[in-house]
Amino acid sequence: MSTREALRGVAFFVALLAYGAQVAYAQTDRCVATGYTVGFFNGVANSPVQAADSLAAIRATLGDSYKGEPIQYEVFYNHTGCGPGVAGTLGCLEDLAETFVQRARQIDASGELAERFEFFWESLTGDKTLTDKVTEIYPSTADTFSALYADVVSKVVAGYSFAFSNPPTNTDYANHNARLDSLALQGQKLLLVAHSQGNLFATRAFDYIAPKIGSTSVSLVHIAPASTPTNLRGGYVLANIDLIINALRAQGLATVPDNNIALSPSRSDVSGHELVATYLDPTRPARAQILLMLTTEAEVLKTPVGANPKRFRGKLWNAVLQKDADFEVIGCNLELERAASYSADQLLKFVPGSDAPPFAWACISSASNASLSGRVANTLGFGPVLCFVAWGAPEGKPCSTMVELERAFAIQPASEVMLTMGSLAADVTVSGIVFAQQIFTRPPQYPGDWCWGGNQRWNNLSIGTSR
Amino acid sequence: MSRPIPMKILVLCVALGVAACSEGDATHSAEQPPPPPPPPPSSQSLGEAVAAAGRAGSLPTLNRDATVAGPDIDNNGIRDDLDALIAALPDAAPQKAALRQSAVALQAALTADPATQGESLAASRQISAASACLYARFEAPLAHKKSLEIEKLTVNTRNRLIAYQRFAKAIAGTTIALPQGDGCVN
Repeated sequence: MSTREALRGVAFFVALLAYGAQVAYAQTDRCVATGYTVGFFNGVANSPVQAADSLAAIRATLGDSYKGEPIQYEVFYNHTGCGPGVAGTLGCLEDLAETFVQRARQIDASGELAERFEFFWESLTGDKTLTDKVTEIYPSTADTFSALYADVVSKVVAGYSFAFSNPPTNTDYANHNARLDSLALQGQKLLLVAHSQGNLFATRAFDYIAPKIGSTSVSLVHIAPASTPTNLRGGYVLANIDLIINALRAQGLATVPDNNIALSPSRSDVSGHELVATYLDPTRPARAQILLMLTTEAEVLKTPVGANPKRFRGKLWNAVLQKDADFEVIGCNLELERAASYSADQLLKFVPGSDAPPFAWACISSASNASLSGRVANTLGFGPVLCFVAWGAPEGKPCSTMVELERAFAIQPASEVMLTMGSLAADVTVSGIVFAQQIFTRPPQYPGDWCWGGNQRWNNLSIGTSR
Repeated sequence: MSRPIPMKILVLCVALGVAACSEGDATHSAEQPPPPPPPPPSSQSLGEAVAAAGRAGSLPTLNRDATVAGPDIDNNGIRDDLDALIAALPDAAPQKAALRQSAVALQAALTADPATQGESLAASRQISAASACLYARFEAPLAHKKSLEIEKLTVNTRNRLIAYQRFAKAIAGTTIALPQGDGCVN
């Protein structure tokens, strides 16, 4: 047993105790960069709703905090690896739908069935509510439904096989990696969770970020891994009833891990492969096993070393930015490590596709009420992002309230706004945040609505003066 | 180690599973009470059975026009047929609000301009908030079921599926955070 395994063994019992004793997570200052981020990597052909649903189900399992530290949840959404699309289609769901339509028309020449795409959705998941209603009235249709759905499922399995042969490219990973960088710099302990084909992405994500922040700051839990054992970076759960993985194994296209948990079949999940209906089903043991793995990993994770306070020295600078056509603000992030190697002016020249930090930074406020105002734009990563500079947040204190921030500056309606940092007599201590445009219409809800920076990690950062 | 299960067995299992599924739910038509089911069609074809079940009110009556958005006369962001379905559900008012929020979010996704990433990301955040809200107002297994129901009833035509697919591609590679708190707007 390795040292880490031994540590995890001990940590497991501690985790159980701690998890049971933890109190409800009260609203935490969003600017304090502590806690965990659970990053979920969805499987092939998962729709956006299904991916978000899976993430919410994971949160329902693990909770909003662990040992008093907040847990934030993010889907690292992928939509690749499921075929190139045939005959001009978009691939993935549309390819599957084409299979459904073709088979439905063969079965039913009237076209009635092929027009009802709700049955297509039922072919993909364990939810067969409408199908059941028909078969309850007309039991003889059950076999025909089964044959139709089996064809669609076969196509799904083919999609997995395609992904094995055509793994995601670096481009597919780029934005995810950028987000991992940002989260690490925010001091987030990264708890990655992957289901099915998402394991391909998650393993790459782990391999990308672990060397940068240390393997003690990131963990990966594999659920129903549609990947080879050599691609596992942490514990995994794979059920004996998982027909999708079993089919992959039967096809011999790749070696998949051994099944390691026995589940009883359920009417609610025909494939035995679904994240929520199978692996997080509260009536079957996989959910408890996954919770155990998550809490065990959470117990041993450390704050990334890259989140240590850093100082960089620049010169007084001015910059002019063009207003973005899309004025929506969706988030912004400090990018301190790379910022240290660039001048301020260079920072503002980042454009999509350049070899630049993906998160243009502009999220600065001053505890000393220095004259800071304006905004900058980030059109890469999660951009376009417009970050308004605010000030007045006392050092080391929680971020200003919405009202205070609103009062702190005025939005300039001009299409061109000067971002200035002038005449500073001394170093400026970064202690504030930048916020989203939505702040004027609603309280911030998403971690991405805010920039982190108003906490002890960044208090020693100095900007704007040469020394 | 379990023995591998051949593809034929997989297909068989799927078939058996489908036949065995028998969970009730609330996706019945807004008209109530539904009339008794008609006698089985003589041909027993699947299409006829589905059509007959639809006429009997056992299946929801859904708009299937060629548009992506469908009719929304009251302009509340929900297709009118879905609005009526949700209104007719036996769920509590906060639960219906969560379902409406989910429908609004999905409708926003379908109608988002995929060329404008900001618009797509805004819709993805709506979806995320709606998912959180469903889990806040339904027990986890039921929240999952409700989420899938809204999706299949909303994305119920080829054109809507294509729009949904374009939306999915537009947000591929991004990260979508769950909101802190329950995410509910009402």
